[in-house]
Amino acid sequence: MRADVAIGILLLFLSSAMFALTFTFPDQTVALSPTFFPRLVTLCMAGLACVLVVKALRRPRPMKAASTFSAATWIRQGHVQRIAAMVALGFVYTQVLDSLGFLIATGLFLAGTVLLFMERRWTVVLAVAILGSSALYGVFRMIFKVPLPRFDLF
Amino acid sequence: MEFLQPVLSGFAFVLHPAHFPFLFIGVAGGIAVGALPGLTGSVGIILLLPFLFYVDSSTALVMMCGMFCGSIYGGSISAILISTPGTPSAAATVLDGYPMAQKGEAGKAIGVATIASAAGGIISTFCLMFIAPQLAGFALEFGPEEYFALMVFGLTIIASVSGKSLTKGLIAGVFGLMIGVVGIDPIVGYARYSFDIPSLMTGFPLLPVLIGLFAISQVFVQLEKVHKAGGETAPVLGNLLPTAREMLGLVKVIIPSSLIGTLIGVIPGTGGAIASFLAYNEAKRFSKHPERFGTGCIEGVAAPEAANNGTTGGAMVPLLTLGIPGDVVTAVMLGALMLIGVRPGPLLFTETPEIINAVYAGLLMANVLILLLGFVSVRLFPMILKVPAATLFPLVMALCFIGSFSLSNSSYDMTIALIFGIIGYFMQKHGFPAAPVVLGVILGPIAEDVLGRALITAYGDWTTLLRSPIAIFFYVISVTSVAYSMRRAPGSPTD
Repeated sequence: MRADVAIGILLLFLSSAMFALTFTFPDQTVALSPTFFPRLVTLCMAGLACVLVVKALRRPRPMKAASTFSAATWIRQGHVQRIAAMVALGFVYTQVLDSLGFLIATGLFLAGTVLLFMERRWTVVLAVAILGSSALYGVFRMIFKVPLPRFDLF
Repeated sequence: MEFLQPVLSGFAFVLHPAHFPFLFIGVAGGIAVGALPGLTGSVGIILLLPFLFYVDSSTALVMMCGMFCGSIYGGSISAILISTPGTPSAAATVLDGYPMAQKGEAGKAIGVATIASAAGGIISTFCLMFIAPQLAGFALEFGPEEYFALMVFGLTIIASVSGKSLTKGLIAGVFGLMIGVVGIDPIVGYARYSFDIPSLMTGFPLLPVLIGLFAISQVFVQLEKVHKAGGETAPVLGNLLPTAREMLGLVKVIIPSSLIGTLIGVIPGTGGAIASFLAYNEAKRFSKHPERFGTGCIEGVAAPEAANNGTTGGAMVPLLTLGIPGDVVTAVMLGALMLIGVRPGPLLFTETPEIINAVYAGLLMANVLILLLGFVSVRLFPMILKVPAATLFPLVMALCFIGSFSLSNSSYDMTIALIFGIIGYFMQKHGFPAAPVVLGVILGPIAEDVLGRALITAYGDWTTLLRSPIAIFFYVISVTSVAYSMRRAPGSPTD
């Protein structure tokens, strides 16, 4: 319920900002102005965001149900840490891919992801990291000729 | 015989040693993806995308058809063996499939599902071959006004694929439209919302957006299930084939269920889940022993499986002829087709008939392969369900990243995929469906483009949009479609 209100307010801000930005676009009267579609879409979003907020506020508070999403439970069960770690790992991977090269970066990324999935056997971690990155490199570099980044010391 | 000529040339293409392995990989991969709870046909298509760039359009389309058919059939495997539908289409299969497995008849249930799925797919492909050319011929008359009305109708499908909450579905669709307005506008060429960032001038790249919303978000969802025990033991398979008498009884169920599936599939925004429950219900209604349904009877497996694979050919009708997706998987397929340079629509039938012929043959062969693979590899199915998440999902994640990277060899696309993965994950957590976003991203810019062209030819006269009877027809069915979705939605008029 509170999440829907927060999302509604966030979308209202987003659509308002995007609507305001349309006034910086060049206007033209022939056929279709570049402002027409963005304004139409952002107005629709603002309206729907208001509907979402109103409906969430009017809805009676649900009984504690296991199926409903709860931020507190989400944090307590360690989901937030694992998801955040996965996002961080993914972001670092995108940043180091060019410098470390595909094989090393992907190997490390795979090893980290396997560990995040709570696999603690090092044989499995190493196997997925080495075989996975090698297989992907083989398919995309050797067969599809995708110019994957290579490790270069200098 | 003249009717079969295009299909024969399609078969020559599909069965060529250079192309057939791709269809095989598509079907086999589809069965695996469908059987694994947590991965669906749409995720399967997304995972294929990086490979599709390196084959010709016809082969890519054939491979996607294989994935589409295979994934819908694959959903029945986990539904029967562990009472968990691998895809939403297989939800009705659980009702009798799992009770059969509990009685020690898992093999027979899979056998019946295999026969029914293949039959449903083949029947619906023949329907596609008959309906699609007629509809495409009619659509050749369309001008910008009719296309705009068609796109409006396409956008109303958002209401149909909204899931539990119409409001949240519409928000997701409009969010897709908002993503679509970023970048150069089609009329004057102004870069909207680009903030002078070169990468944003062309808008958000479609491939990373799709990969993020459908596949990366799914990996995040699976991360939450790490501690949850999923180690159900697969039951004993037993015999695979039904008896000759049982088979004769099944014919009376499979044919009408396949036709129901085809009909439901043709209607945009419906999909296999609706078709399978409808067919199950009809099979029960016309059965001499309705009391057996739900206790593990083979008709209860055959009806939903024939119907959900029946939607494959049906869903391809609006996709190929009008460029309007029939369901969630074909919505993703539409995005994939545009990425590989194929613009679905009536011109596809006149300008590149070889692609259409390949699709016909590909769909038919995909269903034949389902039949063969289903019986040959039935003993492997319980093993598919035992693939550890810690091995599967890291590889899925890496494939998502490399797929995004291979689009233009830039880490920017990987970052976009990651961002949309986070967005997709939170959308799932809060009940916002992803399919409407795809519809918005794809159909929004096309709608704006054709609207602009219609207004240019009419010197800015907006009434031109209401002068065509075909356009008015599409507006009427758009309103009807939205009204139906609002009536169908649970709770209040908008929810």
